[in-house]
Amino acid sequence: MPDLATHVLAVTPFLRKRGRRPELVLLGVVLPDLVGRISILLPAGPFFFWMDTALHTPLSAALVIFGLAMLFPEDRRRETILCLGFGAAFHFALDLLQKTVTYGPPWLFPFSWASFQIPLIWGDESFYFLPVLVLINVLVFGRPILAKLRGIGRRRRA
Amino acid sequence: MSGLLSDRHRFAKIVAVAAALILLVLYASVAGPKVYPTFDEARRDPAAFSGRRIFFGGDIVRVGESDFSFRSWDHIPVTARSRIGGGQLGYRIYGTAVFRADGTLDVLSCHVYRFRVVKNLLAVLPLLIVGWFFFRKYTFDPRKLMFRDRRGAGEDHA
Repeated sequence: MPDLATHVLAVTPFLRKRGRRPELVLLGVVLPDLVGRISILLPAGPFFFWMDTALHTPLSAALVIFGLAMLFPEDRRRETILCLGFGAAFHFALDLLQKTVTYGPPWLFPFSWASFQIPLIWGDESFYFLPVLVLINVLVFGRPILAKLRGIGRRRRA
Repeated sequence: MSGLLSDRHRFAKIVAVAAALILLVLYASVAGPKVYPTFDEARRDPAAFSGRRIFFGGDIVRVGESDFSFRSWDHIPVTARSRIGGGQLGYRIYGTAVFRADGTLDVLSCHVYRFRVVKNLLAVLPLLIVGWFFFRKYTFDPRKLMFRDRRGAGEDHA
């Protein structure tokens, strides 16, 4: 899978227009890796490998999102699921683009072990895109942040 | 609010999600090796796996002219026949290979994850930023097992 910085910086330009609950969308983006990486608490080995495989799937992400949503007030659960789900879907969409030598995530696990990839880049080499993503984020967020800072400056002078 | 997202049996729903995730991991650890045998499984029964395609992974400990050795998850040095080039010592390798009864491998495809450490280091900063974004907005009430807005800390959403 691409590194988390790539995942996060790839989704942030979309958050400016969506505007609602960006903190949940960002959590959704890192969630599949965060859950899959629980396995690092175990010693490296076959069980570690299968735990990572099972938890880094859309079904596991959906279950975790549902569980997380239950930790929010009742009137916010639907929105929480949508925001976390959007983030997680974006994460898996990027994972779809990576090359794998063994096999990619079994998207339909536990119903099928089959995987499908659009092999464009190795997971450990995704940070090559970081400068481009940083530039896009600067272009998207740079002007509003500058305008906000100017506004604060004006208010202070006044 | 639909029944599934309501507060009714909220704690039971969270426990059910956790149980489902544990079951998925157990299923993967039992069924996965049958679908994708790994070197460690093949090593336990060399005769049965001789000539079969397996998956392998480990840290490279020796690089030769036409072969290399890696340390498998069971910490056993394994000889694999393939040229991977110099300068790869210490890096992690994953691949597919044909298992031989003497415990060696004929590599079919592999990738040396040279930037694995960089990728893991790059994961720390986004996690901190996402965590900061999230906990800047929400606080967790352990007694009610519920996230609440920081702004409305005095309100009861439940």
